[in-house]
Amino acid sequence: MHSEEMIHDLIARYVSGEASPEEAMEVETWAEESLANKTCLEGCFRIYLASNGSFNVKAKTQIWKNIEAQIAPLPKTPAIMKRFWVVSIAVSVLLVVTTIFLLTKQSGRNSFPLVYTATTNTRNIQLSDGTRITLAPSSKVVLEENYGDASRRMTLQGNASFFVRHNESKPFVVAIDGLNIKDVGTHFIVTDLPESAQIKVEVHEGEVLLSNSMGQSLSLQAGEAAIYRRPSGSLEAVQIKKTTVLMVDDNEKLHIPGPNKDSTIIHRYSSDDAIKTNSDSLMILSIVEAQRILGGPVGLNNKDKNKNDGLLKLTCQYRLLSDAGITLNSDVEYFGGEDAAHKAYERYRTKYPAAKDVQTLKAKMVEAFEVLEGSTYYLIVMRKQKIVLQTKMNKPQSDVSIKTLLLILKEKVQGIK
Amino acid sequence: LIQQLSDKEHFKRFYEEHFVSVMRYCNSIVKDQTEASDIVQQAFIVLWQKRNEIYIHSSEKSYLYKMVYNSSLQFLEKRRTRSSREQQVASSQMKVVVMNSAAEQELETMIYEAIRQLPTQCRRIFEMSRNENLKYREIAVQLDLSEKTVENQMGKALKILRIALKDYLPSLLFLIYLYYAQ
Repeated sequence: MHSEEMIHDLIARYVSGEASPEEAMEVETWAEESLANKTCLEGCFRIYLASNGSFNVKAKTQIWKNIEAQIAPLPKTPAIMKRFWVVSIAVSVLLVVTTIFLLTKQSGRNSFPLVYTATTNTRNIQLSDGTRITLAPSSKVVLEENYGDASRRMTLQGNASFFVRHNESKPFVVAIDGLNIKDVGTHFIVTDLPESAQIKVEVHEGEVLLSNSMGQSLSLQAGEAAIYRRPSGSLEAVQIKKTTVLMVDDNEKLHIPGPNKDSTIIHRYSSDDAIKTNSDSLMILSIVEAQRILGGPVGLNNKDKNKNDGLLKLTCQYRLLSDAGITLNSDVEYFGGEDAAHKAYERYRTKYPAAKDVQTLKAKMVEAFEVLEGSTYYLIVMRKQKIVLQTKMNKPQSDVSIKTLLLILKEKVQGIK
Repeated sequence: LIQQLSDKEHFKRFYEEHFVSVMRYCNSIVKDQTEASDIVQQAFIVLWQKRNEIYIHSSEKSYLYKMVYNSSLQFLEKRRTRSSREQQVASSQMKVVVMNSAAEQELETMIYEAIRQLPTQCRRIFEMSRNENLKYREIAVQLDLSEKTVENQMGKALKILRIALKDYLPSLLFLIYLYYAQ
């Protein structure tokens, strides 16, 4: 159909962004004709853009999810009318079930639900006592019926991270498969590892007390971890595998958010700074990128509900990332960049002093992120001494230093190997 | 009514069929994968939402491409009108890409080498387009050539480069595929 010269001219127009919709379709149709054509087109994209002309396969799924979430159910009136009686029965049954369910609930003293499940996505739960739980996908917590009255007990299936609002008189206990985890003012993470018949508990703040059914107990301080082995029920203290997440802001300052919120900010970072966190894995991520990946403001939480202009906090959990199709080592348990987030927040507060309510603030914050100067963002995930790196840059001034940083990191990692 | 958009199943198939190409098209214009995803996503949503309102003359496919084209140009326009500092940023977007692996860095070096080997005018035009992100028209004006010549030279450059790099490209694409598929 086309001579080789013609198609090359057409591809040239295409890759350099000059193609009209018709021309683009022509090239795409041509590329569909054979594998060789397709390879040729992808090759040209690579040569021109020096980046993958091919696209992230996962992005396709993710974008479809986004689209699906936004497209309303179909107005299929005739079909529905025909099945009207089926629907009406279903509705009545549902009503009865719901009513029974609600009545049962009402009889309990707690108006909060007792069972929380996370199916495909990570779920953030805020309990009546201020305790926050982040449930990993396919996990479940069941609160005891009178949770919060005299004690606070719950059972967990799967993985979760807990930020417990401590209360001496109401001990907080998580039970998982014969293991009791009692907090003493804490942020801790429970990971169930079914394949190795183990449950791992990591304490990032405060202290917890573990006990098994045989009466053995173990106290864990911040920075310590323990493994509970099934079926023997033995408890063993282990070292926490650390993952450090560095947040990089526009001024190329590295933020190392420590588990105890004492974010370290390293001005004008050096290679040693990045490495001396002595992590098993390391991740560098800017807020903007996190936000992009997650497709919206990242874990934007209103910290204090009583304050109208509430301090917005930006945190994100690795599991959100894995929801977005980025698989991370299961050792990666936490990351957040509160410091950077606060700064971004302050910056846009000065920009939008009029914004009063949280909704407006959120909207403005999204905007603010979009115009955040430079918007350099990149993500580095290093795991098992292998760098998987995904990056994109907009700011020419900073390219060199970032590139240098990456090279240094690479060398370091290869050095370890 | 449009057959392919009659229900969600068809729509999904339509999406599956055209996503990659339309992303590629969008990215060729905006040269920013994140922006491209946003634009493409929005285009599909609009297409679905308006499926009953719009009368499509040609095909839903060309409607999709046109929408993406228009949004991409709008995006470029928006970016152009931002502050001068950001303008600077925009004009040189994405030219430095840090590579995934040693293999990719190797390819980058090789592409660079191959570009250096191009005939002078060919190379100049290719670099002006690729590195300075100039439109064919702008290049034509600067070099006092016709737009058609610029286009031909670009095609020639791509062809030469592709042939020069043909031993490397397929295997690397495969590597990239592995990386994404992992």
